[in-house]
Amino acid sequence: MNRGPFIFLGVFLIVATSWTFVLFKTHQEVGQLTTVLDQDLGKYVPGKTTGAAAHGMEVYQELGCIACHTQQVRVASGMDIARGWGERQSVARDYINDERSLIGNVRIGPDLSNVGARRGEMNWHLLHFYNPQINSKGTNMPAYPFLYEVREVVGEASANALILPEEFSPGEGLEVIPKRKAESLASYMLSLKVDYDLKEAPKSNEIMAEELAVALENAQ
Amino acid sequence: MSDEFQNRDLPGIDQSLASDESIVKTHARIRREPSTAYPVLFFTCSAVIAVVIFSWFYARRYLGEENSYLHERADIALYNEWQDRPRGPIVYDYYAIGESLYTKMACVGCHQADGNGLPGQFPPLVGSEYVVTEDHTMPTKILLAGLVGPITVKGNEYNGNMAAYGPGLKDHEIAGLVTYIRKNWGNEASEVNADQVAAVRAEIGDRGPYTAEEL
Amino acid sequence: MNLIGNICSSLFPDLSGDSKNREAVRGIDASIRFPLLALIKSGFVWLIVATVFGLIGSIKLHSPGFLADWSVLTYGKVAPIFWNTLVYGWLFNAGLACAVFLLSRLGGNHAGLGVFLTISVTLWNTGVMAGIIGIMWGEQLPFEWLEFPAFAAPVLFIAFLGIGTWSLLTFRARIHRSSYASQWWILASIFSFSWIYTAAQVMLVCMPAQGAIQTLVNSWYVQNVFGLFIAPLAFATLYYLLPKTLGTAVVGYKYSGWAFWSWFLFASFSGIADLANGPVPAWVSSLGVIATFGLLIPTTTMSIQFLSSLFSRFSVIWDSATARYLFVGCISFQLVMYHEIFGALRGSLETTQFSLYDSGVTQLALFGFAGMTFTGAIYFILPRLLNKELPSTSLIDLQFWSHLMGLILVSIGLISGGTQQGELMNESTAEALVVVKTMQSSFYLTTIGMVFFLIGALASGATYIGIMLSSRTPEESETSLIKEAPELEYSAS
Repeated sequence: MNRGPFIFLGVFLIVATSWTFVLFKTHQEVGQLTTVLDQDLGKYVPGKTTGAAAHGMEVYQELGCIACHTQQVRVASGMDIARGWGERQSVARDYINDERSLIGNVRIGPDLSNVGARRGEMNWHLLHFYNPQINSKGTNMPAYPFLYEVREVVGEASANALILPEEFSPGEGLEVIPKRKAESLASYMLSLKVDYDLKEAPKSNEIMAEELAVALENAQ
Repeated sequence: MSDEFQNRDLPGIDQSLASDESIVKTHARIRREPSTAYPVLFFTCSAVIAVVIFSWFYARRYLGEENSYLHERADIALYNEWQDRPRGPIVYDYYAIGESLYTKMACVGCHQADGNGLPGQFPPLVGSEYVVTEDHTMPTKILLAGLVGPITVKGNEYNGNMAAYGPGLKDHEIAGLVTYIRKNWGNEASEVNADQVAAVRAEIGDRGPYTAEEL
Repeated sequence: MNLIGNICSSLFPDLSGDSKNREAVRGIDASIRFPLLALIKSGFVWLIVATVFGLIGSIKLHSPGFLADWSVLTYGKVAPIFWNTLVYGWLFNAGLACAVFLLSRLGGNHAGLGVFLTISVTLWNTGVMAGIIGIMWGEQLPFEWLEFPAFAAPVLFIAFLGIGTWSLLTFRARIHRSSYASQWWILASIFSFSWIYTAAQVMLVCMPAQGAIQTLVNSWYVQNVFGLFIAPLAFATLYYLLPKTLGTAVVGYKYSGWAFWSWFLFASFSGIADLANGPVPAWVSSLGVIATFGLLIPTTTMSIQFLSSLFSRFSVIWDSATARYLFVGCISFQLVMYHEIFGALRGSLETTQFSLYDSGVTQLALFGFAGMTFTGAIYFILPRLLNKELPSTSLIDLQFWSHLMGLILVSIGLISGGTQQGELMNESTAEALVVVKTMQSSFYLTTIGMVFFLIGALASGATYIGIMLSSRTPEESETSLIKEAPELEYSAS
């Protein structure tokens, strides 16, 4: 214990062992996955996030949404499926197309992996980001008014102006226009749908039993 | 004690009650001497025993798990049955397959994302007579076996070398790519399915790249 | 003008009196005076910044409209700025201040390369500053405690290598043949951080692994920063300052080697327990749980060592500015490890997963265990560096009690509130809105706690400014201000 090299070696071995068994081994097991052919949809899943939704993913990162929201569904614990936050377990393969993992580990707000299926309307999200109190009264999600532009109505209201309830409206003769970031973020929300199955991802017992029964029936 | 508590005034400086050298030397001596700290030894050993027992049982129950996400035997059994349930034949979504493969197989590298290729180097796929033809076997053959030599596409000359993708891709993947290029960018041609690709593959057998004349 | 004179006399003490008194020790302190003052000053500045952002974040949790119009202060930016400033600003600076002081004193030699160390420290703090501006600018990465944009990482890494090299060279230049526990802990912590930071940056930024692996790397890194860097520095400080302030050898010191190796072995595997039922293989989380439980061994050993030593000289604790901080630090250590070990077991983990329980335990560990220990050490170090008394012991009192109050409130708020939140979220189908409503009182409690932290942080800053700017009294110009320390009492019984 009296020599630096001894401590160096010991700690190096420990950290190296930890890295090997925790990170490297897992990487070998589930870190080199590819897309697979989905039997129901007849295409390769998971697909990539493209277009405005891809930009929205960057906005999501930039604003730090991961500080309150996760994007993973669990089967064995919690009430994720009972709440309708998803239909099946989230597995490693679901995230292989993400350049940066947005899986998250804190939930002050709901899980978002299937928010596109739950709230499939662009307008709902645009209102929500402008002021979450509009459609989720009592929430502690902050407002993002800086993603919008408030300007004077010139002639007729713009086509993409938000239709706000009385108490949230900016005032007479003013309209709220979402900026590009708001629209991208909303597109990204709509793209968050896990609409494909994976063999390695179990669902809740009820759903699996149901699908099994249907499959056995059809086979006859 | 309570008197001291009330009248106590913190000193502006904590005097050391031990010199650095004596700390190092004394503790080194303690390490060399036989131990007298029995409580520490006792509780540490109890902790070791507790940890060993816990780890044994916990590892047995959870470390060699059959399934990563389910812990109860009944759930795992249901899951296995569900996994192996009889499935109908796959109905391929050829366009979507082709779309995902177009980037993955690096077609986009030469033929570009807009399908226009590069003038003089790589022929376009948009409106190409070799793609949007009634005879769907033409693009299929090119993909399966490759293409070399001069070729005229939409009036322009190209002289290149396209690799054969037949050996590396399955029938439904070739069908997907062909369908995608025949239906994207405004092209309007028929879909090609896996059986048709299989037929073409069987017909052409194992061969080298095509030339423009052969097609 | 007087102030400048005071600062100069603080930085360059010209002492009269018996020059033989503590001659060697004064020389050592003089050789590290500038880098150490830089570290302490930066530490206190970052502590104030961190508590301000912590307060803003806490207010936003119960009053989301607070400062919501400003895009640089949206909650998603405030939260990472709080954590990163707390860890890389306050804890790194304070912890490394302790490390620098300990290595120099235990080495027994004048430390060289003071300028090199000061430059490294400045570079480190520049990196932290750049990272924070990066987050505000919108360039943050979605990784816990690694939110600093990619451009900050090389700066921090090079700075850390500089500090590490200095530490290594100082250790090698020691005069005693044997080494003391503090030195092992410090060396090990410095080696560990270099490696885990490199591994994390490579696997997350340089050659990113696939999505789920990134989450795993993140969890591994976060727990390792605490377990393999911050906690070891706190242990090192405790091992040194307990004999120093109590005048008694550490009880049961013989087993320190076991505690050291078992801590490192188990702590390096323990963070991943939180990933239970997530998109990584189940054995990963189970391995984490076993390793976390294994931490019971070093925890037991060190708790008994520290607490026995403290209780054997209990009256001293309240007579010493430093020892009371160490005492609170040790008690916090107990509580933190209790929550870590039993909170990782499947039963409790599945209830508290994704809730703020984890945040509460971490804040107890960072503010309570590490923060209090480092603060106590700094109040021990500062007078010796400048040969002056602490300017106002009421300020120290204020800092201690507000910090303790803050600690209690924030811990209760987040730990019990988080448990409640977890129960509602994970064991019922209550709507997210209902869960938030139930958490309101916890959020308010946390905000009040944060206000106390801020008061404490400002008091520390005031102490630092006070000691630098106050004029030297006649006693403080004498070498006899600090007495020669006696030999350590120890009798083999």
